[in-house]
Amino acid sequence: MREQTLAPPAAHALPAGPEGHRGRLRARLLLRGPDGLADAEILEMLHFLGIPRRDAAPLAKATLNRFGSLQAVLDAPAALLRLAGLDGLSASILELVAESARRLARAEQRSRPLISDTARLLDHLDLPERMARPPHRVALLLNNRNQLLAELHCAPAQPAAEAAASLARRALETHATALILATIRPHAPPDVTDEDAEVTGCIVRTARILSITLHDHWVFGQGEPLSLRRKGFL
Amino acid sequence: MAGLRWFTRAPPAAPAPPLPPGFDAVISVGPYNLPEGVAPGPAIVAIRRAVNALPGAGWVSVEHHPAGSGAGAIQVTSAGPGPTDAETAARVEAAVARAMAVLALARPPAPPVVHAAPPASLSTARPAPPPPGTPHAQAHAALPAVPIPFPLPPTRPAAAGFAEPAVRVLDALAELDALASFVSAGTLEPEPDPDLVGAPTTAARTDVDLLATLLARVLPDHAAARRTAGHAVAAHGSYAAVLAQPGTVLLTLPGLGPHSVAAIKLVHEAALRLARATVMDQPALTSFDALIHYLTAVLAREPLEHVRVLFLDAAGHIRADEAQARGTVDHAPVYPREVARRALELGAASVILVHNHPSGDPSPSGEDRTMTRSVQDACGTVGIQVQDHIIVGGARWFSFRQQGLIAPPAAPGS
Repeated sequence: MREQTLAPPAAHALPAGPEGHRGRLRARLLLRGPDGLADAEILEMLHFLGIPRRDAAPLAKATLNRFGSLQAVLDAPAALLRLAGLDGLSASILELVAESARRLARAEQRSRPLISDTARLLDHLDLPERMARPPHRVALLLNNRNQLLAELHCAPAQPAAEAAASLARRALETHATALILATIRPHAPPDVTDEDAEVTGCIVRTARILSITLHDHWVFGQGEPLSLRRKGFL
Repeated sequence: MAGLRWFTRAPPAAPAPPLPPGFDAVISVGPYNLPEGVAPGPAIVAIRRAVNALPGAGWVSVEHHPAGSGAGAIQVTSAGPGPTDAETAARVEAAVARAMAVLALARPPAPPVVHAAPPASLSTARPAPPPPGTPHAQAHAALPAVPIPFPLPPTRPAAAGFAEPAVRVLDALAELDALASFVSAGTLEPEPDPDLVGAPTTAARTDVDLLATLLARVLPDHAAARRTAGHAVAAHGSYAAVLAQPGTVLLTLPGLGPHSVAAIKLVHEAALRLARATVMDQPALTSFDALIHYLTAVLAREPLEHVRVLFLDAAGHIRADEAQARGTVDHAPVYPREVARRALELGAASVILVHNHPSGDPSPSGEDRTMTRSVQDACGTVGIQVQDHIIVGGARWFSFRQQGLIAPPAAPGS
């Protein structure tokens, strides 16, 4: 993670004049959210992107007055904006906003793999490939429709509490509400080891506090796959 | 179109007093015949631009009269701070000739304008008389024209429907002018900008192109902007998805700092305000598609459940759109009493409930149905109707009214 934060520079660190003004508006946008910004301020900040180092407020006010509303400015064809005294850079930014609105209005169809039953789970895990690898454990993070949001490879030989904590962090990050664990030991018969039981117990306790469901923990090896839920560990 | 509003306001009629101070020096030139094959729309815009760029230009009125030979004739009137001597009039004439020459060049089949050298006179304030044989001279030759009967009919320049090559030339002209003014002011190095000159229109641009255009305004060079845009779109799937990410998430992407993140969030907010303005004060149920587009823009990419309530007046127009509680991934709290209270406070006649399903599946849960009923009950006690409950799930949506789960509003007077 980089060290950048959204915290604004201290007030005295911002230079006076237009640059300091721009910094203050940016800080307001990033820290307090856009709701507190008036339409004129939004337009002024859009002008910042097209006009380097000049006071953009009078232009923003003039444009708003001339067109009547922020919507009218943003809807206006580029030719009209240029006639209203905006140069090509500023006009192209306003055009970009209108295009952005069109893109936002069309949602992308997201296709996420559905892990709704064991057959799909086995399909997704691609066991033959995994059996060729050294023993490992993987966690599938799912949403409340059992669509796969992320996969997490658990570090080998990690203490149970740490494994549960890193899994919880990832689940919160990805907004997951359910988990499936899979432990693959290619050269041993599937069996529940003490470590499996401990990790499972630890994850169940952590997950319950965060309203996350652990659907199951599967162990794969030489022989019939084994479910810790069916064995009564959950 | 709303954007045309100011344009239809008539500029001060040329000779009619009183003109505002600073706009009392009137120069009228023309009429000029339009070159063969040039549409009047681009001609008006180009001439207006060219005359506007002259020092001391005030209001510029360009009127097109369809009479005469070919594409009609153009009358140009400029009202500015002056002076009104023959030299200024000649400059206005030269500016018109310049615009006509460019338009003549732009007639199809025109080469893409990026490859065409601009007319040499473009950057000079006072062009020399055109040498014979140049496009300039041809345009000059076309100047003497038919007389125009006054008063001229009011004109309304068409904004859309310009011939494509002409628009490209106009855009290139504008960029060149903008660049020239920046360079003379000493604020910007004249660097080539592939996103502005000769670029495809925004509709055809890819997600990375769009984001790169935006980031090029805050990052040092285009290569960096493209690289960063590529990373961001790859990480989140689309331009729209990048816009919708919270600032803290964007900051973790390579190459994005507070300036870039502020620019992205700014464009996001401006786009949302534009989307909201298109549904505000509109009838909700008859412009349902527009409403769905707006709700998609606001809610479809939220990772958590949000509840919004649209408050409608007696005519069914949307008067307010308020975000209620933010919930968690699979639940958002709704307080029926508060919905009813706020509706009374705003004087709403009916409400539309909206919430999103971050999973992308908009089908209502049992809890969603129960919640709808309890809000209906609460609002019903004070005579407020629940018109609909819309669930937005990614690219899909579910309407309780359209599925028959909420009775359609009774026809007025029945």
